[in-house]
Amino acid sequence: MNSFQTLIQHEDAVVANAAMLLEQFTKQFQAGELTQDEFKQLADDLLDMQRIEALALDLDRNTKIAEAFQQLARIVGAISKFV
Amino acid sequence: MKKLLITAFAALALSGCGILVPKFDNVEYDRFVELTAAVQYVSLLCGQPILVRDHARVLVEKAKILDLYATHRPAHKEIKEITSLILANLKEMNTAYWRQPAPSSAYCLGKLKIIENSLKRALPAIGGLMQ
Repeated sequence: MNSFQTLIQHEDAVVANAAMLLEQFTKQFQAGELTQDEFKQLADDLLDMQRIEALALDLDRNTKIAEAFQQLARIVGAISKFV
Repeated sequence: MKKLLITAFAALALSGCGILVPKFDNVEYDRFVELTAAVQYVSLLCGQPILVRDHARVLVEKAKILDLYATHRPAHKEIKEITSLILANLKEMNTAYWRQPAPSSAYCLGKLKIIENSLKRALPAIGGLMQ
């Protein structure tokens, strides 16, 4: 359980959140509230959650880059009018 | 000098286009918000498997519409992958509810919490796309 605690306190909120959920599912599985299949499925879903986080980060990054290029293009466009 | 600037302008414009970021789409954003709210609502029903079973099917239908919408958007790779993952998770839940015995309440809460987290993470990324 110590490893869970270390990850729950992780600086990255996504890692901390996933660790917290996994700890909760493990406790529920041990208490018989979740079947083995249910536990496995939920653990797999946490990987999908992490994948979606990575995709959202890609979107954020690409949007910022595209906005910066648009700004640069505007600047060059404005300068070329005066030259 | 002017030629040089025009060339630089063209190069910048081309590089910018190469990044291929989808534009903000209010219909798509609205569908994401609607699905998130629906998932939150169904998680309140987790102690009642028959109700959850009926609503799980509705969630799948909503996610299918969103996934189909994302499929035909230009430069949609990331959004399409997000909607496909969410649709797959909801289909899995729906299938589980049509089997006997019905899944546990803990499964329902856990499954929907993960889906809600994913949708809530996707929302600001999609809402923040360029106008």
